[in-house]
Amino acid sequence: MGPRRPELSGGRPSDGRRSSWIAFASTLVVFGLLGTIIVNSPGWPEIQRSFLDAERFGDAWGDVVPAFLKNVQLALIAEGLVLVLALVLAVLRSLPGPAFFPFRVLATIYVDVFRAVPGVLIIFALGFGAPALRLPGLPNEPFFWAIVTLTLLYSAYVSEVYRAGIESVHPSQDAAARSLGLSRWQSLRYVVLPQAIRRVIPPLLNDFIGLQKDTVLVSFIGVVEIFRTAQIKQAASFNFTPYVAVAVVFLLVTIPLARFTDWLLARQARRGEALVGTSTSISGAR
Amino acid sequence: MRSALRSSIALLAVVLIAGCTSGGASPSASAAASASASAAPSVVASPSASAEACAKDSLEVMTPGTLTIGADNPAFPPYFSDDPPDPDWEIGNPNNGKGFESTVAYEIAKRLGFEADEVTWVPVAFNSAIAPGDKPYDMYLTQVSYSEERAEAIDLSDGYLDQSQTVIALADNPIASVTSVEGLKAFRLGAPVGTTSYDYIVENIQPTTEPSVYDTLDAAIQALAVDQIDGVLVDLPTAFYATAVQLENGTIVGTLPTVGEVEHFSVALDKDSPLTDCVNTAIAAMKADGTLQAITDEWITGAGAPELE
Repeated sequence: MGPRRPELSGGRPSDGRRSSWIAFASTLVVFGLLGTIIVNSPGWPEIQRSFLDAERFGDAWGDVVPAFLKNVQLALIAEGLVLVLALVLAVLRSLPGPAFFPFRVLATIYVDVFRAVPGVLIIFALGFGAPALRLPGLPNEPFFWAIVTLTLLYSAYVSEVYRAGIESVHPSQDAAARSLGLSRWQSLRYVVLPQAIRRVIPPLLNDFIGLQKDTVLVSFIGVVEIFRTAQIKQAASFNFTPYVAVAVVFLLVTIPLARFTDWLLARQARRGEALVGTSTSISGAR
Repeated sequence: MRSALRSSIALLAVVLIAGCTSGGASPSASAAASASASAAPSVVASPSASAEACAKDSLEVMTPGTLTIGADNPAFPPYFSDDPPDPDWEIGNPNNGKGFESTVAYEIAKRLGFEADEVTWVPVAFNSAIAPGDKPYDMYLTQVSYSEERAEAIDLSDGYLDQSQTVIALADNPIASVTSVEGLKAFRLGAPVGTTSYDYIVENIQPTTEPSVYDTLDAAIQALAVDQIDGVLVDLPTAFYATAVQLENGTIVGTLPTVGEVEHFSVALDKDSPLTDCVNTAIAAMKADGTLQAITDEWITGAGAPELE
């Protein structure tokens, strides 16, 4: 893909600067127009009062940011467990041979079930239902069951991501490894998986962003985290600005992660490592 | 390039003009709407509405000829009765005219001129019933406690039942032997979001552990049943139902002392509803001639509960 600078592709030297000015002017016009239309639309003062009240935003901010700590804890712990469980599931599903058929079936059933069932259902079934069994040794903490729910849910999605990565590694890699005397497991561990995992890091980050948002599920079983904190404030004042504050917190956390994912993808594309591209590595793990 | 520029300028102009006219049209439209709204019940100027304004034909109801009353689903005894039940309503069935709030509602409807067969009940979730915005009901009865914040979002009638906050728990939980508000501080308490029960916990009890907050009362009682929390605050009649029917091995710890004004239940109506004054007149009449007391005696259990200090 050649460089995009117009001066190098045959345009005049001033074309580069000109396109920047056009972009700037166009942005100004479009955003200015949108802003004017929005601010002059009927009902805008009510919307502003109900959703964008500066004083209530400041008041909500002081309460939702500390509450966000619970969501962060939940996300980090769950993500760690998800990455491990999903890898196990993906490996189980990709084991060849008739001897491993039951494992493949179990893993497939697991993935199908937990991708189909809504998370709210699982959190209620596990958060209230499991403690109701009163089995000895079963923890009763809502936080624990939220971790279990998120782990079960997201392992299903992430295992599919891993599986795509594993299957994208050219079979010649495994063949070469086996011909060098490595066993099936050694080939998986030293040759295939390192390449597969590196390739799927952008989709994994994507799923992590999704998991962060789903940590609010724990509010259904009583834990007061960021969403519930905002809801309590909203219920007291009937003003929806606290929800906007929560959205801003999530944006502040998610956007850097999203841009980092974009950068990683671009770097992988440049180096020919991307999932969609083909790798010509012969020597195996880099 | 030139034709592209021309067409984009033309598009700009069209959009600008559209934006300005829509901005300009709205004030006149809303002015017309408010003028017609205020013109209709012009007789209702004084707090005690005149008889003509509350006559059935001059009442502004959603569906002419029918009074639409809302209630939460599930509707709990003793406020609503499940004898006989209705497939659309879990537990209590407002249509059968039994239960405290159902009886009160039909009585108010009668005094507004609507017979029992001219009343329709609709299930409306509590949270959306007390929030600002258009309402799918003419009036709403589901143990809505009066509070100033709520009164800014919706109309709340005069009270039809005083209530006190009560703590319920499992009988084998140490909280069951607590005799004072101070004693409750050490326990994990829970309440549904946006309720006066929640407010009471954070303002008056101030427990050392952060209270657990749930979307619905059902969820809070469920958490109590599995011992994730020690106590839930509800009103006294609901406490009797919850401990007798919903909870296995449930018990009433005690009623909490009133802090500030005595809480009362009010009928909820849309903000600035023309029906509010008429409903207040009906309630006042029911209090004056003893009807309300008779309904209360019939449905609200006379049994007491220990009082926490």
